[in-house]
Formats: sequence, C-alpha cells, structure tokens
Amino acid sequence: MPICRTGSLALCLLALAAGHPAGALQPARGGAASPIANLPHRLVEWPVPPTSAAGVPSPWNFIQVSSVAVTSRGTVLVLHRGAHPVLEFNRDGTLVRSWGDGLFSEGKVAGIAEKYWTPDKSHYSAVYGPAGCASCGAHSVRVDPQGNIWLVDAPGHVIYKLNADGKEVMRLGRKGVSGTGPDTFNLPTDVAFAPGGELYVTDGYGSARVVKYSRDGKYLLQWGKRGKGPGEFGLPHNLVVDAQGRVSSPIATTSASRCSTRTASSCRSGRPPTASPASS
Amino acid sequence: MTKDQRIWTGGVLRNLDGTPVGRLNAQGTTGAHGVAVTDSGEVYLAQLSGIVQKFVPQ
Repeated sequence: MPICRTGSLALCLLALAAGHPAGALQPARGGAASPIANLPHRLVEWPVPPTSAAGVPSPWNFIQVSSVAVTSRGTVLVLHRGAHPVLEFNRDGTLVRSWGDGLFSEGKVAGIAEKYWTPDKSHYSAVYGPAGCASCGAHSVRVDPQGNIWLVDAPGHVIYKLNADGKEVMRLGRKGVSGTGPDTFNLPTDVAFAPGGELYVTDGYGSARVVKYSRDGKYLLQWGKRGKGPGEFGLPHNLVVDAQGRVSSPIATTSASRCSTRTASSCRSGRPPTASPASS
Repeated sequence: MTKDQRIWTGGVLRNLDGTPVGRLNAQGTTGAHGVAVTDSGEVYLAQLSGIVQKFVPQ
C-alpha cells in the first residue's frame, strides 16, 4: 500500500509511519495516480558537526531521532533516543545546550509477534530492563504557543510540560503506571494544543484514543477505541489542531479529523479508519 | 501545522483534507518520524535513522 487514497489522511500517514513511499504517488479523485510536485526547498547540511579531540569535524551520534520542534526563541529542539536526549540548536546549526538525561524511561516500544495478536488488543507493548534502552521513551517534543516545551515518554506513560528553561511545570499521566483512566496513559504518542489552550493527547500504542484536557491538565473528554469501525483507531500516532480547533490524527480519517473539539459525540461519526498499526 | 493551515506528513505537505500539495525532493523524506517548520518556511525532519534533515525554501 504505497499510495494514499483520496480523502483519507489516515492511509497516507500510516504508510509514512510504516516506511512506505506514501509521498510518491497520489491517486486523483476517482482516477489514476498522479505524481506529487516537488517543492522548491533545498536540503542543507544541518546541524554543524561537533569537533573531535583531533580538532576535525565528527558526525553527531544521534540515536533514533524521533522528533524535532522549534522553540519560541527560534532555536530547534532535537529529540533522540540516546545520551543527552534533548539537544537545542540555533537555526544556523550550532549547539546551544543539551539536557534530559534521566528524564525518559528505559522502556522500548516493541511490536507483538503476530501469533499473539488478538482482534481487540494492541499489537504493541513495551519491554523494560535489560531489553529496553536508555532514553528510548523519547517519542515526541512539541512547543505550545506560550513557549512551553512538551515531551512525550511513550513507554513511561507520561507527558511532561516544561517551561522554556526546561523546568517541569506540569505532567500528564503517572510515570511508570499504564492505564486508560483520565490520569493514566498506555504508551502515549503525541500532544497538541487547541487555539483556546486545551490539550489533546494521542494514546497511543497501547490504547487507541484521543484524550482532551483543559490548559491546566484537567480531564475533559476522550474518544476512540481500537478497531476499524466508526470512531475507532488503528494507531493514533501524531496529532495536530488547526486554527478552527479541528483535530487531525494520523490514523484518523479526514472525517475524524473534522471532529469537534467541544464534544466527543460528533467524533463518533467519523468514518472508519482502514489502516492497521504501524511501527515506531 | 503551517501558518497557512497545511500539514506536513513526513516530507509531504498536505491540505487539511489530506490532499498532497507537494513534497520535499530528497531521498527518505516520506518516512520521517517527526517534522517541524519555522515561520519562515524552513522544514526540519526527524529521522529514526539518526539524522535531522533541514530544508530551506528557495
């Protein structure tokens, strides 16, 4: 399934997550596939490589770069699954600082072998201890309109809100505690911000729901469950909110993306996702 | 989400209905795990392969 179906953001994004060349072709509405135009963007070398002890440039040792975000100061946060998991660079590529050691869990999200699959359960879990790895919980970094930094630790089942200086000011979920309640997650994947300040969380690998919170972290509502029916998700992996407050999740269909931010009821009318879980 | 209300999905830019508008012209961009865009249109792609790609509008 290397192509995206017309009107289905879900399939397109799922294919991306699965590493398929989803951007290569796009079927015209009801017709044959047509190529997508190249954008007038130029790839540049970035960031500036570090200098080795020999005084010469050396490559960065990023371990799985999972996310990137632009701060309110105009710097760029790079989130990777290794030592110093959060690295902040100027836009010219020079390193500003690094931080985050010990913040993320050492669990590793992993696919469940097919012979253990059941129709109603997630195909993902997490391994911890020796089977895990340092900072492998690092899944997403976002910056809200007020300049706060949000970090999603998927296998840690927790989302941190930090101020622009990196000090924790709030957290959603309970670190190391999985669940599907109003204050627990099961391998969450992303967080997004509505124009009115409310928060949305995709939860995620273990659950299959979107949860809405007030700006101060009070649970408001949720929708979605695992499946392929109306209002159901395969793997809600990322999340964006547009200027009108409509929520789009990569595994949701475009109908689901039009769900109201005010109530959950309209979200149940979303067309069924036709995708299956992807990786990473 | 861009300032003009489009969505980057990996290296592919889409309208809110999912229709592709264009794509970044470099190998491997469609499989990016994370994306960020600046107000001036620079695009950063996070790759699980261990690199960050930066694209600047021409």
